[in-house]
Amino acid sequence: MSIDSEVSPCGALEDLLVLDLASELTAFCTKVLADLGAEVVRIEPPQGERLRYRAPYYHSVPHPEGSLHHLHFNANKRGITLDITHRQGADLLRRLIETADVLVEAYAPGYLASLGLGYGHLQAINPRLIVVSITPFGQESPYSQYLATDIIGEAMGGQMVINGFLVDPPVVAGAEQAYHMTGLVAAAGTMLAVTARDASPERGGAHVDISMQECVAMTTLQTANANYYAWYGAIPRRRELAPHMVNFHRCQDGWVSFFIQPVNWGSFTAWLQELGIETEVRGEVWADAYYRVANPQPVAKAVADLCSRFTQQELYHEGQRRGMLCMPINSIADVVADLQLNAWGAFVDVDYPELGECLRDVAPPFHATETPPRLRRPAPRLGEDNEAIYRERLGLSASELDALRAEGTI
Amino acid sequence: MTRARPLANIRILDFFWLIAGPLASRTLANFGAEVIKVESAHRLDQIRETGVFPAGEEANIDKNGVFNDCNTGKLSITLNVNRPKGRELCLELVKISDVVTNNFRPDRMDRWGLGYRDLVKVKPDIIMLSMPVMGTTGPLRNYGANGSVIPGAAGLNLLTGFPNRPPIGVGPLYSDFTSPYLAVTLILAALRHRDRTGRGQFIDVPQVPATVSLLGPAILEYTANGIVAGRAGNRRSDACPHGAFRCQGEDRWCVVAVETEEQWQRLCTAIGRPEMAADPRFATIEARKRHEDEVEAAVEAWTAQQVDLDAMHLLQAAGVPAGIVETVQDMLESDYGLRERHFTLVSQPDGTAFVTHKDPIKFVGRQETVDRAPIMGEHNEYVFKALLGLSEDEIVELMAEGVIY
Repeated sequence: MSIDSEVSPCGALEDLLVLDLASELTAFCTKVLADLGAEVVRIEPPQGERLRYRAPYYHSVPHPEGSLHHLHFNANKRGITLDITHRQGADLLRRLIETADVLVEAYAPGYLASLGLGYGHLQAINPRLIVVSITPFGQESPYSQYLATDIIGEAMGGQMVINGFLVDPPVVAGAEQAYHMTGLVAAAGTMLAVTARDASPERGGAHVDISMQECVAMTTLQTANANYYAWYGAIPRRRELAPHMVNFHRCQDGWVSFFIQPVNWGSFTAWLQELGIETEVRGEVWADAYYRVANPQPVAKAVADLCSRFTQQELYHEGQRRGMLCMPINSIADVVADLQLNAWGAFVDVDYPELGECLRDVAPPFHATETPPRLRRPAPRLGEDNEAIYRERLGLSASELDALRAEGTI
Repeated sequence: MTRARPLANIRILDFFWLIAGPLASRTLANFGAEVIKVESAHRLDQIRETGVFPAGEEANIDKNGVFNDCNTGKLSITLNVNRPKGRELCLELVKISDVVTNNFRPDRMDRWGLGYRDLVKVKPDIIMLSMPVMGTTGPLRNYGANGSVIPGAAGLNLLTGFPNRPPIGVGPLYSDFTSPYLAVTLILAALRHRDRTGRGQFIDVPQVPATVSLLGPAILEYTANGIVAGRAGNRRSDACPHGAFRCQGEDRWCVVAVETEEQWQRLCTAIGRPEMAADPRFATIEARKRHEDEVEAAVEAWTAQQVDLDAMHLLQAAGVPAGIVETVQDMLESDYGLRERHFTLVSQPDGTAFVTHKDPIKFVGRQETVDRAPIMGEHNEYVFKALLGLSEDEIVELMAEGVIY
């Protein structure tokens, strides 16, 4: 049941109340749910959750309201403060649970139970509750109590070993992709549990168990398919640093990705011919796709030669015109300026009155004719919704709230 | 323990192909949906042809390891929708389906007469989800790409790796694995909306914007601060040490992520360098960042003496976040927690066995596994006969005409 009855009925999940025991591992999952219209209430300790203290900051000024991680991940959410390690804090959480649909949390397995807030405890209060537990290794792994960050998830999930070049250490993906992939899977898992509850209301809620390591492992399914090892004993690793990298080429003003589908090989060789590029790969034997896969360097060299003659944009548009899967390798500045992304609507301006400006952020990446994403509010200030939720919703008096603040529970 | 099958009453008419699409309908099938994968010899799912095959079976389109992993639990029909009769049969299937999916270029379904406008005429509450590369709208909407070029266009390549190297980005075709889970969420949200309101809808979730949405803080760093984030290898501005450190053996690495001063103190003790804990040059993250080469050298001097797993366990016991760089061999043979939870062996009737990923979505207390991917056209009889009521003769004739093909 939603707290905010004034949410416009355009969000697909507008009737759902999601409590987010805020952490880096829950942030993206609950953002996806919030962007679909769910009422997400972010619960953080009175001094603020860790994401508020991560650089980079707005104008590089460290401030708990200015962390760009916080402003990005927590837009569209409401925010209250609560210390659940205090007995009264745990009691307040139990009261919030009574009417919640989903609780998302990322504590080490067993921790919430030790506070009397485990799945069993909470289900007794609200049999319809769905608890989504997101951890680095899952509830039952031998590593379930291990500390992990994004890089550890990428390493243990098998992705780092196939990232980068053999001459270098394994390298992590940029922009914390283990956290992001985990958030996407957890959001889908939340929706599955909601669907299950809708389908069988008598069964009540469920406990969903998401492991960052497993989520990362899914991303290795093609490049490091398990059957390479099972059938051949082959262990995929990162690439050799070759003179010409297959699929990635320098051009006059940057780099492009350049993928030639077998069906368009003729179009590529025609282009080489038009440009007067003499290369062995224009020969007949190279028309065989398997031969090209077995002998990648001459092909890569020919592509490199072609790319060296053009700018990124020239290669992009002319390549696409000729059926090549060619795209620029964009910087963040290029991405924000991109013609197609802007025309499609990939960015959204978020108004931050306290900062005195609108910030352009990435928009939820979908259009839906009935339930489009909608930005309802910017990221919450610390404790911004304490009054609304503790007083209006739970009926606490002003003096009770003051007392809770004084003892550090809120 | 029973399987969780919350989608048992849902039918998906599935035009997803390659990887990004099928991994979405895979999850739906894993949790009970009847997913009818529409294939055709006329338009082969290229993933059946590229990847890993059992020895001696390189030309067998039913034996591809990646295809079998991406398409667990689905049904397969062969239906040539280029033919009017094929389109007609397809629309008959739409009438009894809840969702129609595809990841083609945006004009493809329209050109077949199977666009959203066409579908709602036969089923007004149909949900159609399209996952094109660029979008259903926009001047470059018909440009093509796959998972090897999308991350670069989205900005991920220039955020990944060591700055002096070619920007090859993330090793796997990364966007192929993220986009599908977003599609799953959107499909389930749309189904729920339909159940509550009676209204279906058209959803456009393009792969390039979806990948850009995974770079949020970097986008804000540019739009708010004017800073274009670059590549930093394994380093982070707000953690030190943070990276991969060589261990004993060939290509074995321990990853360490020290995010707090307390963890730094504990690390110094664990690696036998208590004097570093007291050294003002390393007293804070900012200070350590100024001497990062020295910090990293000290860590690697220790890890180089360790077996990677020992290093991980020792550091974790000391309260320091650490892990190892696992290979597929590690994941299958020595990481027991992962292997049992995440992998399973799925067999075809003739005995070919595939090591397959289970779904990373788990319900506590429920038995989770996956069913095998379909042989091409395996379910023609079930779908055309049992679901659509065609006779045996009609089916034979449609096969001869190249419609069921």
